[in-house]
Amino acid sequence: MNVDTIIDLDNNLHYLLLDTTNIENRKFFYAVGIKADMSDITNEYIFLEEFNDNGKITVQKVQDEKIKEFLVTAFTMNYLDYAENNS
Amino acid sequence: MNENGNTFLKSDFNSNDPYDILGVTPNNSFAEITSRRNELVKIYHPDLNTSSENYNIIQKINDAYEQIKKKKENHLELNEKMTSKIIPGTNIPVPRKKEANQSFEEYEKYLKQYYSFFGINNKVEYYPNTNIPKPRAKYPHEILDNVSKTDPYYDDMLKYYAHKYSNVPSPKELVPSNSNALSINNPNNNLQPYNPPKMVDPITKIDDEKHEVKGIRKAVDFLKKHKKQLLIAAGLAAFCIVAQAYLIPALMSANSTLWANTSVPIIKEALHGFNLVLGKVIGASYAPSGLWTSINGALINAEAAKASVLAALTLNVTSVGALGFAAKKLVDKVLNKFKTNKNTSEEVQNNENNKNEDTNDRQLQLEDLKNQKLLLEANNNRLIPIENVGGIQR
Repeated sequence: MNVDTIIDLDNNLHYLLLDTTNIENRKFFYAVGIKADMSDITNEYIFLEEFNDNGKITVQKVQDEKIKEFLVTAFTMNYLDYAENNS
Repeated sequence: MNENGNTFLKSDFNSNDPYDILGVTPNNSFAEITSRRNELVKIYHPDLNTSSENYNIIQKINDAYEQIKKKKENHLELNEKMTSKIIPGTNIPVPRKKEANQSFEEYEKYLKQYYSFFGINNKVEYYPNTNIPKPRAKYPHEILDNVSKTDPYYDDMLKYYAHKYSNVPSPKELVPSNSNALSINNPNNNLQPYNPPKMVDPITKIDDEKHEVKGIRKAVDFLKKHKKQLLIAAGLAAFCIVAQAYLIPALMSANSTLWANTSVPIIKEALHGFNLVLGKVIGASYAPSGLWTSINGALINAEAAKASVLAALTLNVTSVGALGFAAKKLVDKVLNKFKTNKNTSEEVQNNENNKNEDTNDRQLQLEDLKNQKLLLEANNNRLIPIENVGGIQR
């Protein structure tokens, strides 16, 4: 999976992959939900972890608070840019 | 030049700037500033000269020195805090944690200064060859979903973002400044109650289980989508040309044969009318009646063929173009209908109108979110021990 792609999950949810990073050979994505009719993105921004089980690719919502904090820190910078430009 | 060999500016005791008062600059070290202050104190000390003017000057010197001292101390403290930890994969120190008695607005102000210190302040980007600034990606305040809810400021942050990123005015903004007589309970003041925006879309959210990825495809790709539609439209136009060149003449020929072999006036009229329509569709002139009977079902005679060729040459371009345009519109509509089959026809129309804007916004959003790789790209090429990750503070 790469950024700028949409993944279709087996539970009929769709996510647009916005960014990615690796931590200890674990691959994480910053993703946003896509509406079922593909007309727009939703407000659901989440972190996903990718798993490859013998070629079967699965994703899971990140639960680890430490990793979340790291990822939130990473995105803080862009928030500041946004806040600066829109304040 | 003083006794230590340092050169200072002339003191300006009428200035309000502490650096001007001491005749130093912010680039001078604290030791140099202290030296300068001691030098000035020696000159203007009240014990040496008891005039009231000297007393005021010495007060100003001491005040200026204290102000500079405070600034330097804060700067040192900031430097110390800044260099305590490094964000993995970068040379950027981790900002200090929010203090318990610090509001989130204050903390944000600090963060802005902090990041600008490292030159990663906002850079306004422009569309190529224009002076139109690109909008920044909206920071997803929903990311707070991923912030520890044990954070003492979690609720405040939610409220803060809700205010900051919504167009819904806050109760304060609703009340005019000169409206002391107005009351929120007064039905005549047209004040609307403040409804906080929804933080999360009510759409079904992913659960915590593992989910198989059934498909991976390119993200919303406006150009590719249009290419597909244009290809279909071009295919339909090609079909129209084939129909014009072969199918319709063949049908007209068959109609003519049938017309010649039937004696029922109504059928003859119907076939005649049908061939007239077909002739108009392919842009050919059509001369019925006697002509058709004389050549026994031939499509057109030599004279009509010439006219047909001329007419076709002149009308082909417009007809095919019109057909292609109509076909493209039709395909767009059909695709949109399939795409938003749950929407009403009005929404389909709106989608068409807003399609360009939406897609552009999304593309811009993607572009801006790519800027976030400034930090994350470095991380991609570097393995980070998990224990280090735990040390990061938000």
